[in-house]
Amino acid sequence: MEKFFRAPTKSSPLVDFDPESRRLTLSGASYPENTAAFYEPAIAWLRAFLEEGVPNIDFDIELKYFDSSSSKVLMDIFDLIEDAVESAGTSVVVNWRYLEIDTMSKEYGEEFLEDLNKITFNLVSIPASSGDGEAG
Amino acid sequence: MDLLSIMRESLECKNLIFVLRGPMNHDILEVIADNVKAKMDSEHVSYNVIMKVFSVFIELARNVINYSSDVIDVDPLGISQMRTGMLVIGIEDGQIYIASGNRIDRSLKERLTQKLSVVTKLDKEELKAHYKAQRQKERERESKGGGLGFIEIARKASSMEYEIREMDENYAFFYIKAAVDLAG
Repeated sequence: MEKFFRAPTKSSPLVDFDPESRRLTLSGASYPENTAAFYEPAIAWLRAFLEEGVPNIDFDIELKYFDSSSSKVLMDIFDLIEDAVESAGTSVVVNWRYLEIDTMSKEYGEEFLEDLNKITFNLVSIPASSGDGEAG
Repeated sequence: MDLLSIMRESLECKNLIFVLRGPMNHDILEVIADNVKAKMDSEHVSYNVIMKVFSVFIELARNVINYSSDVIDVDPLGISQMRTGMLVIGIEDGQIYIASGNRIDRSLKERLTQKLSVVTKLDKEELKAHYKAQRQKERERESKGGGLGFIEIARKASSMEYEIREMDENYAFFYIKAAVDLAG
């Protein structure tokens, strides 16, 4: 399978899904003009990837900001992954990365964690260092 | 009031951080969103407050862009559209407020009032539960959002008010104001 890659823009995140290392990355800001249209190809790729029966996945998510419709899509993605855990026994680790000072991202991570029970969902706090304090 | 006075007073008004009145679309939103963040950063507003204000601002701007009844076709084929409204950010009594105003079809009044009357009554814990339930509901319906946006605003704000005033048989004016505590 080919790697799935989208460069980040002001309103859409970096999407880097690598089938070889089985590492998925989503990072940046997410408030695309049309959320469903933006995520549809990434979700289709992920669905096809999971159907191949993957032993394990590491999924790094570091979203400095996402809007309410992106939050809905994230839930869709988590559900898709949980289905794969159930049907194919895929072992999934999600690393929800947020800046230490970012209370909002931390809370959103905690809320996803509450609703997910088949995947390992880690809340990873990134210590503030110089330059990281800029709102992004 | 003459135009010069209006412009001078709004430029000199220290309590206004940002005002936009006119047609907008997603491309414009990307630019002004950055602008708004940079402006607050320069006034030493804390990271969490900036992100709350930013979040409310995006949801309100999205509302104007999706639902204002004042539509301008940018190209002759009508593929690219802008919608007109007003967005204001200001400081008042230790809070940053974000407000939007735009015309809507009068037929939307009832549905919006119903959604907003629920959202503005709930406390933070109830809002969280409502947010999760609504997120699930909208995923099942494959809705484009909208309902979740108001809950998001209410969760970020310490207070929120709205008014939908009928203008004539076709249109109503839709106003929302949300305030974020500067100390929060």
